[in-house]
Amino acid sequence: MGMFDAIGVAGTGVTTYRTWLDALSDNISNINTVRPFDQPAFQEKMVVAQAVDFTGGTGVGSGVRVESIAHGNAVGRIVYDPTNSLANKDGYVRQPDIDLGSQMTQLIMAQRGYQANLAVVDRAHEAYSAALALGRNS
Amino acid sequence: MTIGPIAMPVVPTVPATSSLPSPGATGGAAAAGSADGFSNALSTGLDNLQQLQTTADTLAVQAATGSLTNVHDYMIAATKASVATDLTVAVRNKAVEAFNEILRMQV
Repeated sequence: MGMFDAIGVAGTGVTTYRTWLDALSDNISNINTVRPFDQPAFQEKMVVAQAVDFTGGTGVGSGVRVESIAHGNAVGRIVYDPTNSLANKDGYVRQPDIDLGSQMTQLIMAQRGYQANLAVVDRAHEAYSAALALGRNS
Repeated sequence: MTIGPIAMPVVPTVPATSSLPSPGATGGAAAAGSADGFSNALSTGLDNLQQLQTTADTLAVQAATGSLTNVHDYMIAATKASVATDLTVAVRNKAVEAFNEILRMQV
């Protein structure tokens, strides 16, 4: 980086929030995925964000990155559904232990975070352009 | 002010490219040293710009071929390249302006 730090740092934020959006869309698309009783249920994906502490001389950090993807409960919800073709001999299947309400709330947070970081890119561009316009009309 | 006349309009832009060695560009005692500083700054700036443009171009090709994973990556690279181009043009305009100013000098 160097010259356009603000744009680059905001870019790392956009990338992280995009990963969060991806994870949420995966969770929501698999919210009804049924697994047999002897297999783990579909696990909720959770993005673990980490601050990037590398400092480029000014003492300001370099943004954020996705450290890892954490997985939710593998036990899931054990549902009695004897008509399901995946049910075991007692009629049980595993469904994911994901709360749609929580996913939708997180979706709003991820969307707003994405937009906020893009707004930072825009503001930084505006600020740099204003600096470049200094003395242009003198 | 101890800064030489040619160096004066252009030296303030030097710190923008932080990776410069800037060998005593602000000393201003020797005119040759100042000119070196400016040409160094200019070529480093152009290299920088070239690199940003190449990044933006690569991402543009990826966007066109459908292999771009992050849409914003391209937009951010394009924004950076655009600001860097503006900066380079501003530096060039200032240099040309200073040169013209000297040409208009009555002797």
